[in-house]
Amino acid sequence: MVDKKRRNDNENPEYSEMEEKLNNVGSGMCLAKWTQVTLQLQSGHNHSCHHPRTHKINKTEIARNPSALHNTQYKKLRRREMLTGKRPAECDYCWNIEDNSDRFSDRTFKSNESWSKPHFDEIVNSDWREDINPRYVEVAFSNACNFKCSYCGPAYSTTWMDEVNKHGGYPTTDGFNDPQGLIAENKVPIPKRDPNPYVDAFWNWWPDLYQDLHTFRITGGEPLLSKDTFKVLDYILEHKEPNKNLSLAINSNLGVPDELIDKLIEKLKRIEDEDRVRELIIFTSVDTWGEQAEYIRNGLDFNKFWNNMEKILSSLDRVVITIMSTYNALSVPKYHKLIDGIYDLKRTYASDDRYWNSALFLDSSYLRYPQHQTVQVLPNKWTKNIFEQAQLADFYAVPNFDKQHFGYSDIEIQKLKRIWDWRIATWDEKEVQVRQQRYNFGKMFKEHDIRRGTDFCKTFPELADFYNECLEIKL
Amino acid sequence: MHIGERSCYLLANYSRNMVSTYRLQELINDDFEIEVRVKIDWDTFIKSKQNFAGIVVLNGVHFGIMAKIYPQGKVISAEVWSANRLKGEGKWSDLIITTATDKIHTDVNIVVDEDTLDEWRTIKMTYRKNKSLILTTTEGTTSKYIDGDILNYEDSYLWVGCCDNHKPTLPEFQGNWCGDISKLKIKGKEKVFMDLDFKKKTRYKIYDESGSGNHLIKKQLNDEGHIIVF
Repeated sequence: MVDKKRRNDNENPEYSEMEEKLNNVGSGMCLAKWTQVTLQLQSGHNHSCHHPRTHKINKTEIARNPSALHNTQYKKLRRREMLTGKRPAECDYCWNIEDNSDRFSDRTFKSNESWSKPHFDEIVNSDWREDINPRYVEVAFSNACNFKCSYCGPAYSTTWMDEVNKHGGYPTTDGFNDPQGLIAENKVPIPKRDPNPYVDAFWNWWPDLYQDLHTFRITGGEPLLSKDTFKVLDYILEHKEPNKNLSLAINSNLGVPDELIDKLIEKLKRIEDEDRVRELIIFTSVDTWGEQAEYIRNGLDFNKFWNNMEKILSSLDRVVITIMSTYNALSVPKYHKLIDGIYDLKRTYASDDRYWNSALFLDSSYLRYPQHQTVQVLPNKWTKNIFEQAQLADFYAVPNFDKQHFGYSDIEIQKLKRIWDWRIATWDEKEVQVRQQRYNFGKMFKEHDIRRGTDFCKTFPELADFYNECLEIKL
Repeated sequence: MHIGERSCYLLANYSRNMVSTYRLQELINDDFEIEVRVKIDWDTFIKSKQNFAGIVVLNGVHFGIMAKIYPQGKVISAEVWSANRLKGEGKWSDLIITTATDKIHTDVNIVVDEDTLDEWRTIKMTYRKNKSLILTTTEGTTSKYIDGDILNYEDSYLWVGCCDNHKPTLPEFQGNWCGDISKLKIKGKEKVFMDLDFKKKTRYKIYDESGSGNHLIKKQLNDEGHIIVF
């Protein structure tokens, strides 16, 4: 184990203090196991923190106790481990960091969040069997989605499900998105038309949960295609004593019919005007610019998407949009145009009414899976483009993260820089792996063009030679 | 682009987001040249009662291109400080373009007409590491050998439109410049350090076309009055 004294505690006094408090309970203690949950109601899975794998929710448990959507027997056993000085094996992401570096792991960061930290005493003094309402909840009501993004899959998209039910998985070496994989993991989504006991349990739990929430985020699928999303908004609108401390976030691909966008705006406008929540955030996604973005996110109409962002920003004075960009191999040629475009929106919609002056944020994360679409597959000459994109965002930088400025924050720039860092990283067998993933890249997009009537070389002329070389690879 | 009213620009000796591929320390540790196209607002300069102003300067004891007012006339200079270890003294090497017909203090002047100095002008300073300084402008070229090794400029910032605007610098030593600038190109031995045409800009930065990521920063102060590097 790394000597913790090496760390410069002066730089992170809050984190040092939290880590010490957690370790006084046990070396595996983490408040997120109590305070945070992601619920995938379409398949009946959950996890507290995104690092451990999801686990199945027991239907019998939720029939008698809907809070067992979060407080599952499985999770309570992990909590017992934490309260008795053990490290749950499923949390190995953090143990790896703690044992191999002098950095704080996510258990310290998550425990120190404003939705965790105030509940420290309550949690450590509780019995491991007790139920607790989480403060940070992400929920997917359904996998209904009108998009089938190239890196996504049937667990999160009904259109993907339709495609793989018809054509099967892709002819990559790992059989990308083969529906058999979902069956093996017990993650087959419940069809929208069928009764869903997990969604029913959620609504039974919701009146008790609502007032305790710090953050509530609706994910999917495409949440605007789910009636449950609007049911949440109506509940907030109709509640006599709304939870005014709530940070409400909704994911959307902003590619649904206009009437649904208008309905969302109308309800959020009322929530905003009546001051019913602390903060409103819309999370959306786009991974590069124009036609190339449409290719990556099948179903996207780029101009409509952009118009919808402008419609939201011009209609809702306090709403902030965060663009979750899954930076992948196909993002590289035109990502600079996205950086320019988002800066223009930041400038146009900068306003003191918002919590931050910038009305929208670009959150660029690199794609890790499927491996055949990550930036690692590209020829080396593209590495420079990634770095130049970080330089471009740096040109649009703000002096500091302050209300008076608009532009890119350090975090937005650093997340782009991190993609370059990862791209140039080396590891054993990298060359062999990349060759295999290039083979898969060719197989994937050749099949993609056949199934979806797209034309890779026409859409990505910059990558056409590379693509054709991938098609020549023999394993 | 107009620079004045203390609206100077800078490039720090570090990159907050680590996106510069060619750092200032690397530049000044070898040969380099600064080429700038400017129109100096001499009237405002004279009214300011300053004796000197930085056009493109590394702070410390000034290293770069400056505008000056001497009793004999207007001056544009290129200068650097060195240390002659054998003699144990600091040496100032400067080259000047001036309107003064009398020699000022050096024998390597380029004398120009009063009117000419008021117009747009390209000025190039070429530095050969610890060897020589060359000043080139419309009317010709002049050069001078540097006596000893130059002083240590590794902690310096590069300033455009002043000599130094760090908080501790007294106003009379800030050397704030007033005028218009349309081009600035700084080249090292083998690659371009910075290339600005001052057209692509935000409220806070001027875009560097060189690919080195050295976007020029407009002076911003934090609550304590210190320069913010971003």
